[in-house]
Amino acid sequence: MPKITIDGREIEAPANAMLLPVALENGVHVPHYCWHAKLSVDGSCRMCQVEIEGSPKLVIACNTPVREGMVVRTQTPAVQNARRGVMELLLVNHPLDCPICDKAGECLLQDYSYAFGSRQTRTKEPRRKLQKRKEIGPRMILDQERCILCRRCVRFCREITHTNELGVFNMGDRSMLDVMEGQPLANDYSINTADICPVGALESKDFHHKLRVWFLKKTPSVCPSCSNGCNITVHHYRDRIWRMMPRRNDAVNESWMCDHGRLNYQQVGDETRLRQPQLRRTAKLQTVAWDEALGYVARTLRDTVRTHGAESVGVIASPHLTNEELFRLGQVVSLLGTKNVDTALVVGQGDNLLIKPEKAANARGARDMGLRPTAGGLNVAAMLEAAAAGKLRVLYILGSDVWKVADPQALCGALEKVGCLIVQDVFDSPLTERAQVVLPSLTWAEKTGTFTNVKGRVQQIHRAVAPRDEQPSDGEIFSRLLNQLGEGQWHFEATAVLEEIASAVPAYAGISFARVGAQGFALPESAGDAA
Amino acid sequence: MADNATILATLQSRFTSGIERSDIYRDDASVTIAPEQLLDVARFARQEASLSFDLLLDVTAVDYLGQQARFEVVHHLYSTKHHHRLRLKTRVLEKEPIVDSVVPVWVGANWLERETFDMYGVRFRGHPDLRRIYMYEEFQGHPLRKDYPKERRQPLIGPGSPQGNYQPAIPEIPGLTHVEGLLGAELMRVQLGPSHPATHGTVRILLDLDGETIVNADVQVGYLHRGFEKECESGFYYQAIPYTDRLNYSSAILCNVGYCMAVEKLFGAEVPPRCQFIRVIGGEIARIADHLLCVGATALELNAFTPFLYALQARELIWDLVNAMCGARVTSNFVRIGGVSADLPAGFADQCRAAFKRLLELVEDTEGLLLENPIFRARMEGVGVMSAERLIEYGVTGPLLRAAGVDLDLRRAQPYLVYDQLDFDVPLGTQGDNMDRFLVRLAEMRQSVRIVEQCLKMIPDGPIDIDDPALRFPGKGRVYGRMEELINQFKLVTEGQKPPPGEVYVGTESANGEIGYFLVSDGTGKPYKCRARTPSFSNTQPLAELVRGRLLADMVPTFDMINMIGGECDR
Amino acid sequence: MATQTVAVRRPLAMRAGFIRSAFAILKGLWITNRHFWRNLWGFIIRKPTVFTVQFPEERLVQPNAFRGMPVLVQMDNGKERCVACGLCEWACPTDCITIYPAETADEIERYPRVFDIDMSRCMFCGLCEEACPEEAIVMSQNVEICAYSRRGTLWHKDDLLVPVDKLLDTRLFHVRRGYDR
Ligand code: SF4
Ligand code: SF4
Ligand code: SF4
Ligand code: SF4
Ligand code: FES
Repeated sequence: MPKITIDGREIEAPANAMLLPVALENGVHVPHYCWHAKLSVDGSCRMCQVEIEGSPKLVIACNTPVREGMVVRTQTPAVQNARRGVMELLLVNHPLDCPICDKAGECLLQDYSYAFGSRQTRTKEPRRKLQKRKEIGPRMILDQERCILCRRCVRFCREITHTNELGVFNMGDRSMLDVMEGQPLANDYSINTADICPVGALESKDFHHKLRVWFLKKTPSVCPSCSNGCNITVHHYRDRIWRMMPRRNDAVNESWMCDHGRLNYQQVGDETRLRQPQLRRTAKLQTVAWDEALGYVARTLRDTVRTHGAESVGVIASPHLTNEELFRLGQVVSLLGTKNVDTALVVGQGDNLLIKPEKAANARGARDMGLRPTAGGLNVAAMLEAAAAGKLRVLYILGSDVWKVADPQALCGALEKVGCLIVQDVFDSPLTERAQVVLPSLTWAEKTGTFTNVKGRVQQIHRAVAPRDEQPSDGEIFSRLLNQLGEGQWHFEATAVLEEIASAVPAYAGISFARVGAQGFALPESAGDAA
Repeated sequence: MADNATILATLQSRFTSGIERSDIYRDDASVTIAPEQLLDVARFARQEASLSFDLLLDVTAVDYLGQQARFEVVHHLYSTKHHHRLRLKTRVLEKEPIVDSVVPVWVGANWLERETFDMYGVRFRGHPDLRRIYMYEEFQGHPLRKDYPKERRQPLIGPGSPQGNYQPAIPEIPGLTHVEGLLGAELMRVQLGPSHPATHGTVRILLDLDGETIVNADVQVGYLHRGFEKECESGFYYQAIPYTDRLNYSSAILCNVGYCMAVEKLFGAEVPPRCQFIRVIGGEIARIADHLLCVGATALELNAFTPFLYALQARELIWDLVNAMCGARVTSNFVRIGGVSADLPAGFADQCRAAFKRLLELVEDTEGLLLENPIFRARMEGVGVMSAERLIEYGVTGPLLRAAGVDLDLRRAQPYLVYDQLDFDVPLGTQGDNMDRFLVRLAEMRQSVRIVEQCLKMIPDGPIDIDDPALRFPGKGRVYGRMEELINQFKLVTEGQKPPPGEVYVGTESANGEIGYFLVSDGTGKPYKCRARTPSFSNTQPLAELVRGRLLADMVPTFDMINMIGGECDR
Repeated sequence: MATQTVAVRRPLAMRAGFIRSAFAILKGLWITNRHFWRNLWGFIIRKPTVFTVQFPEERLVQPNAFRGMPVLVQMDNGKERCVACGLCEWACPTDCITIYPAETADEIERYPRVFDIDMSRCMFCGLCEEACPEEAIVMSQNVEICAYSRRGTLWHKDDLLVPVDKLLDTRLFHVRRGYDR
């Protein structure tokens, strides 16, 4: 391992590393535009120049390998001068767009101009005119004037998605970024280019002119849309989610996330969401108080088990719930004594970058928490059959995924026959139309807990927005059901439940929020996936 | 005057252990001492002839949440003899936030320590009466702690609840003998305020009366507490300027100036001369307004209505000047970090001269109606006397102290801005009674007029703002058309000015005494701690002692001459 | 230049006596009468010397620096100049501005779909004006913001628009003096 000195500090660097990442990792901030940790080196912006002893000219840190005994200076007048020069050149033709640019506030051009630039404009020449507001894909907009030609986006499309939509055209000071003729930027990961664009040239249509970034509060979380469990940051303000951005985790998603997952947040703030429990006393569903709805559910379950036996109750769990909630649900199931429990999981297309076929964040967790039929129990299809045959009297369905996976005819037949249908979900659906009791669920963004991704990595999610009217989480609903069914005093507090899991589920032994941390906790290989 | 290095050396040679750190940052000397040494160091600092720190300006704390020694109790000292300053700092543990009270050394520490206890929960061992001062007794938590959320709501006390009628036993003031009433009968409890026609400012004074003699008094402040410090700490440096207006709302510019000077000191920056002159002009005009209100209101509350109208008429003239200068009469929001919000308007000098001419006539008339008036004189002369030493011990500054003959005016003692280039007198009183206080204020107004007139003659041309984009927003003309300046504007507005980490204290002479800002920067755009040491708070404290043993009627002129400004006292 | 201390001159010791009291009374009468005649004369020649203003019949003429409520500058085409950049919203110490941006087909692609100022919280400090990079929000001469309900103190974009030439000779004149600092 070569030893180098940066600004008088001795640093041990990994062999063959480039100077820039070594400096950044050691807290020496060297400004840079074109370099990106997950992309190849381009060396075009010249912002990262530093002084190296013995070298006659300044060198670019992103493309200079470390050498034993290298002495680097990042703060000398020559370096500062060079940075000022780079900034001035970049800004000569830059449009005066900050007031209308989505990037303002997190723009590297602004940051570096303020920190390293001259802070005084010297030129008066008119600025270059190029195309603005160009729609380059279904989800992306390009403003060519703002582009500083760092080519991060070009490299992303070449190296990560291998789709090559973007390129730099023309030469010299007429060069500009554009999409290839007839090839819109439409890949499944296109919005990542807006994240890595250091300026406001590439913008996501979804976030375009929505909100100033400095208002946003940030909560680390995990994407709910597939079982890859991409790490994300939820950006929210006034109890509403405005956008989601990938959070770097080299073991899961590097620095990226797919467009589908990124845009899948609207449901959280949807006005048509279920907010109040409903009960069907006559022909119509009526809004009732929580205690009444839960009392009814508990009574029905208890009476049915008592008169018709535990096998007349079926539970279909949702792989969108957290491990903690699923664990509580498992307790409800075993208290009832039924073996008819399964998870309805939508399986679709995957790809070989991030997207996984299992379209729920916690499919693995649901299996690990034991929400699948055990010996003698019925799976989803069998439960529906049994219900259609009149053998299943109560069906407790969480989420609406069952509507997407089950055979529609079998499902309708079953729902008509079943004595009491309890549905717990976020939205109205054909299921709730047929339900006897409807319990509203919370979405992932309103909860704290853990998800287990397909590779067995347990990761935390955190409450980003507050639920309205102190609506209870699913975990709390299960805890209250447990209480009503007559088993002591259960509360729902994610940290405590995770401790219970640690002692009850062998594969999760020793787990805690502290061990999960920001980057997740990989379950031991031996734990294996039950699927 | 000893320089900072000598002060620190003197302390170090006396306390070989115990002094954990001493440093000089931006010309402020400060020492960090072990808690068990605090009282000894305080005594020494006060008694040692070469130090003689006889004036305790301020006691407060800084909450370093997350550190084991979480609270840093900070004392600011001043020597009226040598005119030098010192900051004492003591770290106390989060588990056991207790430190010795310095009331035995400076009696004025009483309220200041109560405030620190109220706001931070730091306890003071040996304090005679450690109860809350701004918050009500049932308040939960300590609002200036960093883990106290700004939005938290507290249960308020309703009118019917027993707490609404809070009646503490009035504590004895340490070192004073009990006043014997003439009648020797049972005492009568009278409440003056919180809203009383003869007190301008919302304050509640509990009085125990023996006949008409005040046997004991408890002054309860805090009715106008708005969380100035909490609010400043949650906004950017530039966002606090309008809040400083609301400290002393009768002389807002003086409060602006002190604050902006403190932030500039954090940066180690100095504003250009024209700006300094404008600040002096604005400040002195504000001082006149403040004294006019004090003088007029005193007359009014002693039943003389006409002089009050004359004084207010004169103040209208002042407000017109302030209005032309900053666009508002009271809430000036005039000074900026690194400059002032606008240059003087065209024709301002002439407007000033005309206004001053009439103003001086009106002041003369006010004076003429009062100074010969036997009733007014009977109520002012010989009333509210306290020795200069005792006043200093209480931390009193400004006209109140000068009326007792103490030559302490920061404009003269530690000249700042351009005061060292100006010619003015510092009026002193001879007997220290209310009449002297009244006369000192009248004389100071004339001096302020003199200062402004000099400034208007001397003011140089040139920029009004510092040429440093890290401090001052760029001129709008450049923001509209230039890229770098547009970016500067964005960065300054969204992230605020970011001074280097450090702490400074700046004391300036406001209308009622020393207004001092103690700022702690952690390098971000928001002050980590923004403390305003306000004169009204310290000046109000001796009120109870001033009126003990006097007649109830003496309460009003004495209170008026203290000129408690609610916004400043309660922050 | 120098400062010096001077002792204030106290009035002569009070000797209770008819002469002195009579003198004080006469002096008082002299002063108040002077004011009376002066004011009366001003009243007669219609150049009032009194400083009270008979609001609302009479209104003060404010200097052009005057900071009344903040308003939005309306351009000649009737639209606001504001582009919803949000700086004023962020700079406002009392958080009384609420803006929701949106896109337009105009050349400048962004405009405020919603621009509300809660006048019951606004303290007329002018920091919004100082933050604005477009000269789109300016303090006006208006201070009459009373309403019959709290809701009425919430001013919307349409209420806030003021044509630019109405502001030119008042506050805009004042701030433009400092443009080339
Ligand atoms: S890219 Fe950055 S500098 Fe350019 S207009 Fe947008 S925010 Fe301003
Ligand atoms: S669009 Fe952005 S990422 Fe792509 S080259 Fe231009 S500045 Fe770089
Ligand atoms: S004047 Fe001040 S308080 Fe009012 S909107 Fe503007 S910034 Fe906010
Ligand atoms: S600062 Fe100006 S342009 Fe920006 S939102 Fe406010 S008024 Fe509009
Ligand atoms: S980051 Fe090194 S040249 Fe761009």
